[in-house]
Amino acid sequence: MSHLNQNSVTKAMIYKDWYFNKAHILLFGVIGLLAVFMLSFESVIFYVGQALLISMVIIIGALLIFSTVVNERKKHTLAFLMSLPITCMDYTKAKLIFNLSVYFVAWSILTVATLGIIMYSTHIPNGLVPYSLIILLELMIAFILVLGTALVSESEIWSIVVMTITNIGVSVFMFMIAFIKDIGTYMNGTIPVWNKTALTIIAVEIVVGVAIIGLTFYLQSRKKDFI
Amino acid sequence: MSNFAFEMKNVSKKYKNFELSNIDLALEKGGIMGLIGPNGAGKSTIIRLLMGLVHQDTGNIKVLDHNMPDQQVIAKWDIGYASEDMRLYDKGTIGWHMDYVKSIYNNWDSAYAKILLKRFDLNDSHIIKGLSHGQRVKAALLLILARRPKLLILDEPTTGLDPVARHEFLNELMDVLLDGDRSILFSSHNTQDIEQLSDEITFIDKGQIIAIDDKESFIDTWRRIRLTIENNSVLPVIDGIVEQRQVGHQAIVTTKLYNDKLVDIYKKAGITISAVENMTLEEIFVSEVQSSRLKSEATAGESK
Repeated sequence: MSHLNQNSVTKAMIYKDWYFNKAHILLFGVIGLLAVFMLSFESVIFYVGQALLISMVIIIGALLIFSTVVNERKKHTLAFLMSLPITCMDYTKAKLIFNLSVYFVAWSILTVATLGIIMYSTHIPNGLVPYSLIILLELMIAFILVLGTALVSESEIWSIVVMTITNIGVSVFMFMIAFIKDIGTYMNGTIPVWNKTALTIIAVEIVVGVAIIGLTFYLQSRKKDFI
Repeated sequence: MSNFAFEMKNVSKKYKNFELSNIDLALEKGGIMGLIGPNGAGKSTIIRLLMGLVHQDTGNIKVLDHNMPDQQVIAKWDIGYASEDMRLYDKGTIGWHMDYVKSIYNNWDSAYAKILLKRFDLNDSHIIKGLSHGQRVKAALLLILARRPKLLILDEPTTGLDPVARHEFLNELMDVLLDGDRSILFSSHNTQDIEQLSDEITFIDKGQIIAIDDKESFIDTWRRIRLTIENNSVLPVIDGIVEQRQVGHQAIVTTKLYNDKLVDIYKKAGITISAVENMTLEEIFVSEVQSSRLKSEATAGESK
């Protein structure tokens, strides 16, 4: 059959994931925007908004991975999907395209909104912008790592283990980054400082994210038994 | 173009605790093959190999003239596959699933889908979560049949159905199978299902094919013979005897090559035939499996 037909199968798989998950994604997206709005307040509301924002970014990631990858296997709908004219690699491609796209859109909206609030709020120092971007990028890398683990390991347990470690790791990562002299020194400053250290950390995060995606494809291509 | 819907030649697949070895299996186009085996015999592995979901270690597999697993995408356009562990999406309605499959397959037959909905007594507005297991199995079958595949592969579709639902499902399946010219591979550990549907039957046990024949041949050639043995007579060794048990003057012999000559041989040996009984497919299957296992144990014993 033609490539046109093959593309229609990939599109159908992506459409299916969106159809069954859009309500939850939109709900948590709206809560995420509410959290961003809370950042514009001073006092305790700011801190609640901060915690809520990080929670929403993590929850959207978890929702995507568990409902579109882990549950597909757990609820035995994978057999239905694999009865369609696709290979393991087509499946991997469709899952990566859907999850990365949706997460990236949600992440981008929340990131832009967060950075905007930091820039335009008088009570938040603009120096937090590089630090915030580094932390939000770390959440993105954690999402990609859990997604890759879910696809490659085909295991709910391993997905939960990696997700738990990465979630706990967020606090540790925030702490560690704040303690790096070239970052911590400028966090309370009035202007964002994009020094070599900040840019290197961001570059490393991007490279790690791309490497995990590449590794996921490579490991999936070596699989001889898929279901 | 070959005459086979699928062909497996010398196919092997090894797992940690299970091995499928030297499988030679072929189904002629338009044929209906039943694959019977106990749980863990390798039925699902054979079917997954045919679907390209599992790659063979050795041997060649062709499905609808396409090499598997390399050409699985092309082959799958014309394969309808349903398995016992396959589930549809809980939140979707039957209608959503129909539209979904229709969006993928150009050869979706909407008119036929409506006929099947009525025949299976399903409502396209019902969500999958609210359906009984029997209705879910029928919905899955509808999704396959309405796109008119050339090869239908059904892996234990009746497992988990209550007796009434199973009976209804099989009757409806038999009805719809009359609608078109398809090749069908149907696996089950239930011999009644296979007997009802199949032309050709394959017995599989412990990863090996132990017998392949058409249904009539199995039924025609297998017999249980009750014998009365006179004082000095000894049971003769005859080809095709699968099992013989003797208690005093009474013996029961099971043969897979029953013919009139057999009767003569026993008569000449001074043995009286008390009764010749037909065997059900289930009895034939159990005897074949036991015989195969005894042979394997004997071979293993000799090699030690």
